[in-house]
Formats: sequence, C-alpha cells, structure tokens
Amino acid sequence: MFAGDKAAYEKLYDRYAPLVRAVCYDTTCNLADAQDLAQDVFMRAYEKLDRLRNRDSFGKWLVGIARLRCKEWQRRKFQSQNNNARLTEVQAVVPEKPDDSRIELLRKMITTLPEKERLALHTFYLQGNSAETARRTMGLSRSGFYRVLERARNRLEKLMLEEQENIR
Amino acid sequence: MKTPLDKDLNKAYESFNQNHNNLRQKLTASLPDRSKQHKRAGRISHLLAFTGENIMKNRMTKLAAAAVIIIAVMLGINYIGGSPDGASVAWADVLEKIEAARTLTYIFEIEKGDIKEVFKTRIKEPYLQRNDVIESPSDYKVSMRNAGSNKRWILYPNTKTAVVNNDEGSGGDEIRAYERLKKDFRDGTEKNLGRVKLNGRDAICFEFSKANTKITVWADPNTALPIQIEEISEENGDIKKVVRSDIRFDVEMDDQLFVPPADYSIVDLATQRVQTPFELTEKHLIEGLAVYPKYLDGKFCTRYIGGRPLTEEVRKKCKAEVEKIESWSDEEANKSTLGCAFIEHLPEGSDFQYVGEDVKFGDANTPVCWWRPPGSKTYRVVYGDLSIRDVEPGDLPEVPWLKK
Repeated sequence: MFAGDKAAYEKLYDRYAPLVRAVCYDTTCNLADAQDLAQDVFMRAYEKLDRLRNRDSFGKWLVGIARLRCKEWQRRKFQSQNNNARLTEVQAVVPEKPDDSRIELLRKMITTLPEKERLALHTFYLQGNSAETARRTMGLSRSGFYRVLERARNRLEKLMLEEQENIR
Repeated sequence: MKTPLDKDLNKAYESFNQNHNNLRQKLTASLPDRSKQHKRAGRISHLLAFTGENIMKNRMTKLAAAAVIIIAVMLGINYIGGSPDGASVAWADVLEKIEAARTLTYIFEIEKGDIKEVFKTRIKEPYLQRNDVIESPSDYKVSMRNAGSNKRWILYPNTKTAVVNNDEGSGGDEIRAYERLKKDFRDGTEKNLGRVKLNGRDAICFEFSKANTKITVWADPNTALPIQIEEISEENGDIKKVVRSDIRFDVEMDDQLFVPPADYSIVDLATQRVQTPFELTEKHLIEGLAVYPKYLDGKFCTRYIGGRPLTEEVRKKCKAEVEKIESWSDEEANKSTLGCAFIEHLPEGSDFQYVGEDVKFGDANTPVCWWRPPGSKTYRVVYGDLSIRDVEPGDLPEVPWLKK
C-alpha cells in the first residue's frame, strides 16, 4: 500500500538528489559528507512534506532544508572539534583523491562563488542544461536566470585563469 | 555549442550522480512507514503532483496573491482606510522614540520558504543582544552577542555549557540588522498610510519601499511607540519575511543577561580552551572516556588528547570514529569535553599518555592512559574497566611510538 508513496518519492529523489548533494558540497567540500547530508535532507523533507504549502516549489523548499542542515552540520563540526580536538582534526583534513586536477579545482572554485551564482550553476548543469527547469527551481525569470548564470560562468573562468597563472 | 568550460562543468557535476542508485535504495529502505498517519490516497496524489512536469503559471500567480491576503488575514492586519491627515502621530515622533530607546525587547519571527524561527530578542544599546529560542529547528536555546567585543555565545542549559566564538558578522546578527533598519528609517522615504487596525488595536501605519524590501511600521497613535515592524523581501526568488512584534522599549535589563551564568562551563572555540566553575578531577576524565565504548563497538577511541601519531591511516580511523559518535547527546559531548579539559589542565611535566586505542571496555588489565600527579613518584593509570591504580614508572608498559 505504502509503496505508492515511496515510488513517487523516488522520482523526486532522482530529480533533485544531485542538486541537493551539490548544495551540501558547497559547505562540506567533501563528496562523502555531501552525500550523507543529502540523504538526511531527503529524510527530513519526507517527514515534513505535509508542511509544504506550495507543491510547485518543492525544489526551492528542498534547497532551503539543505541549507539549514548544512548550518547544523557546520555547528556540530565546530562543537565536536572542540569536544575532541585530537579526534576531529581529521574531519577537515582528509583529502579526497583527485580524479582530475582541473575538474577537482573547478569543483572547489564553484564553492567560492556567491550563493546565488552557485545555485544557478548547480541547477543548470545538474538538470540537463535546461534553463527553463533551472530558472523554475530558482524562481527567477528566464532573462534573470541567464544574467546570473553568465555572471557565474565569467567569474569562474576568471578564477580558473588566475589559479592556472598562479600554478605556473 | 558547448564551450570547454561547459564540458568541464558537466564533468565536474557528474560526481554528484556517483552512487546514486545505491543511495536511492538506501533512502527508500529507511523511509518511515507513515501510512497510519496519513490518508493514503491524499498522500500519494500529493507526492505525485510534485513529479508532474507542468507548472501552472497562472495558478501560481493566483496562489501568490491569495497567500498575501491569507497572511494579512492571519496577522489580523486590517486596513480600514483613513488619511494621513487624520493621523495624530507623524513619523518624526515615532523615529524620535526609536532613537531615544536604550533597550528594547520584541518577538522576532523570521520565515523563509517553509522554514520558520521565532525568538524573544533583547537589545541593549549599543552592543548587547540576546535571543531566547521559542521555535527553531536548531538545537540550542539561547544565543548572545556582544558587538563591541565581537563575541558570540550559544548556551546549552541542559549541560550548563556556553560555547563562545569570535563573531565576525555571521548570520542572525539582529543588533546589526536593527541598526541597519534604523538607518532606513532616517532616510525620509516613509509613506504615512494613516490609521489602521492591527490585531484589533488602533495603529498608525508607515511604509518604506527599498530595492527588494518593503518595510511596514505600525505605531501606537497615542504614544508614537512602534507596535510592530515587518520586513518582506525577496532573496533568490524566495520571499523572506521578518516580523518584530510585542515591541517594548526601555525595559530594565541587567548586563548579566548578556553573559553566560556564573555556573556555566565556557568552551572557547577560538582558543580551544575550557573554563569550568568547578575543579576538574579524575572523575571527569573517567566520565569522558566512558562515553566512547558505547559508540565504538565496546572499545575506547583511537586518540584522546594524545595517542598514536596522526598518520593518514590514523586520520581515516579517527574520521570513521567521529562519524559513529555524531549521534551522541549534548550530555555525552559535554562529558567528553570535560575529560579533555582535565587532561589539558594537568600541569607541565605530568607526562600524560593515551594508549586506549582498541582497548575493550571492561578489560581490567590493559591501560587506557596515565599521568603523574604533581609531586608524585608514581603514575595514576586508568585501565579498560575504568579503575585507577598507582603504578611505579618502571612498571608502565612501553609505548610503541615513543620507542627510540
């Protein structure tokens, strides 16, 4: 009986989980933690579905929950860093194995962009490069969305260029 | 046509799809069965509606307009007309009261999307702010700021602990937000909307329109004191609403309200030091150590203010342990903090060593840690059963990583 609900929620998960992971990654800078946080976000969203007033804004609502969960994660991290400084030294330090240094750098650079621009990139590149879907998730007009996306891309290109010059 | 940056971005974002099917399966398996709490049909249709591709633009617009009306009705805001000429209070009178106040309290509600937080806020000009949580998804109860010394405290009453950190203008800084609001109030752009009813009470209403924000102030027509201040703004397509209500000016406030109570332990995140209002003893160390076996399969942790040197392998092991203890309670976290504090407060030359990695809880023969109390020839050794015995220096086990 309940399978119907879960199946529908799976569809939502397929559509939005990569986006939520990307939003969480902006805080964790670590893919494994971002995946864990995203799972938690979907659990919480499921619990709170009845509180969602406008069903069309599910994506925006989910991103809001993700941001809040990220703040909690940060606070808990600070707390546990203090509670057991020696144990938690590892939390921020363990590096992920870079798959491709340029791509890895690009991912890190995205986390340094202003929030709105980050979200524009996440929504666009994680939702099939569709500006229409992305702008809906962000609640922007088409032209407004393109402006933000363009700004993000320009800034990113500049940052990558600067970084490459520094490496040289 | 895709540029090289597009290609790189698509590749960078691929990583967020890693392990997706497996993660989906795990999530679905752990979703609670709430069928008893919800009507099945309603719930399924509610969920399936989200997955529909069509966005009904007109309906959304209608919904948005309806929402504004509903919010106004819920708040009891009732514009009953009236002209500025009929108002007995001018904005200058209200502003004068606001500027003159040295302290104020109000109920602070912030709502963005479906997330709502409510606090009782106290401000003592020019630096002090305190928020007592009334409704929030967060787990703390009180936060305090001193904008003069740039310190922020979060209080955890159940463990009588205050966590203090440097406050570098982070979010939720209401004292600065209130200062910005006052600046807006001085810019001469107010519109007097005349007499209105607010929750059945007579009020004079003033409105300010900023770039993305509408600010409305309701003031008492007799005293010119603000009753309620509301800010509605748009951020990334989300409507953010901030309401300050039940505003009271010049309430007497003791400075002690803005510092942690004297019987609280202070955890300073900047210096990583803990100050306690009581003497730290062996009992605190034992209680701190005792927290871990419950979460680590009956064993003590790998490092506890000391232990095996931090190699990459040790870091990974510690990280896995941190993940396991993430669900500990505030009380358990506090016990661990006080145990660490006991070690950190040991005088120089105490020669503390932690060797508890993988020691089983209850093992009465294997040491977990030791130290030499001031002036003592023997060491205090804690064993796996958390008993403490005095041991001669020559009888201490060899520490592998200290071997020469």
